[in-house]
Amino acid sequence: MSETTMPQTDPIPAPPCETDSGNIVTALLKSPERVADTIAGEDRNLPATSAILFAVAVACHVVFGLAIGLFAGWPVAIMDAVKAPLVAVCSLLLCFPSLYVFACVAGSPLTLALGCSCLAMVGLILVGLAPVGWLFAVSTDSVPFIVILALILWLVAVMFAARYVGKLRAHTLFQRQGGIKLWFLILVVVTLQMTTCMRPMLAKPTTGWWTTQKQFFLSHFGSTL
Amino acid sequence: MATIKMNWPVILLRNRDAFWTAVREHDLRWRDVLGLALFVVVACGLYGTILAGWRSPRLSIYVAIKLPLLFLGTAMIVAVFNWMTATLAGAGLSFRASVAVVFASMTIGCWILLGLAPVALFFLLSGVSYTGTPDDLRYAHNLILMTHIVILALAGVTGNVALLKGLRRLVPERCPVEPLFLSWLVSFAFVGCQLSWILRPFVGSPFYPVAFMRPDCLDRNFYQFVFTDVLPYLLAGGK
Repeated sequence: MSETTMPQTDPIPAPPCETDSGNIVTALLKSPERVADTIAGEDRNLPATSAILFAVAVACHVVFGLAIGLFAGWPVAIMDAVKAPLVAVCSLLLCFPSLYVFACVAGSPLTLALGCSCLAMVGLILVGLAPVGWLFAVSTDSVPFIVILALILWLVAVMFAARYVGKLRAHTLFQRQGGIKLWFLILVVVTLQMTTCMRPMLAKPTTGWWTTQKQFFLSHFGSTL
Repeated sequence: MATIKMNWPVILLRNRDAFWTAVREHDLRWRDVLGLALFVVVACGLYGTILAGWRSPRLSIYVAIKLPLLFLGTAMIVAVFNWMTATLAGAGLSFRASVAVVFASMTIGCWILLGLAPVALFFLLSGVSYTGTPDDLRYAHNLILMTHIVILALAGVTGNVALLKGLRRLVPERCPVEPLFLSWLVSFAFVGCQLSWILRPFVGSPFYPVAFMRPDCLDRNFYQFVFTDVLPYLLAGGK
């Protein structure tokens, strides 16, 4: 009887490391669990991954700012291309301490990488919606309309980011997320105030890009609309 | 010389189970409770500075002193009552443990305050101005008051949820946890409202001079004010 030999099987390949910008963006959209694995793994590539996510987020916000800013011409578009990522990054930085505390209280230690991935998710959705924003921006001259449109597009993107964080529950480290939805509400309010702080956003600047006048966002949006 | 263990606040943030285990196994010393109290003083002091920052730097300093005084003072005033109710309910908590549990919930609330302090500061610096007409000032005052009420309420709710969870971990099954928690909450709120009334101003009305305490702080109490001023005003439709 001839001795049968078992066919040699190749070892299961290790999952690809998410440090390539294409990979990480694709993973963010298609399988957030893989991003969660990378973040939870806290390997030596985590700073690089965070940097890529941050760069993607900034680039995406630049594109969205440019598209919406075309409402008032190229000077405003360039100004918004600078201000849109600034608004997003400054808001996240202001809210990061509360995100960390909320996550710790809930029992799920979140990291800066997760904050960057949330911002990147918002940015990616905004890039997807940028053509819609651009189309309406160049075909209307109503300030209230474009303000409401930009607000709706941005809220859609934030909702997708909240959904993305919810999907991370598949990973054991991120299962407990009490208070994170509330944190998103805080982020929304802070971003609206940051937008007010960095006004004008959709009007041609008369006295420069920045203002020193203090104003609450409800009063600002009330006067704009 | 005994040193104060300062890392309990961090343990409470990152791994509360370890803290409840230490309380249950009587590993917590008075110096550890003092460490929690010091954290509350620092965190409330920092938030207090922001709380009154819109009105004047002098009131900021006053509130940085008064806010920790309010929280710790309330906890101290109700401490004996809390321990007695816990004993009557069969919770099996020592006086030290009952104080430690209350300070633990305050510590968690203070972490929320610290986390939201940059947000409060940002709103203070970018959203409200201490100039303008009386109507503008009233609007700014109400706005900053609402912002702080929301933040403090959030901190209070989070701290109390942690307290309830902690009590559930600590007391034996036969002890009614919810009524015990409710009695602690009601006593804390009852005393806290009056102490905050005595220690006012906190946010600082633009129509009153800056003072550590109002000259009439002991003339009436909070509940007299609610029942003789606020309720009749509301029942009359705000007229």
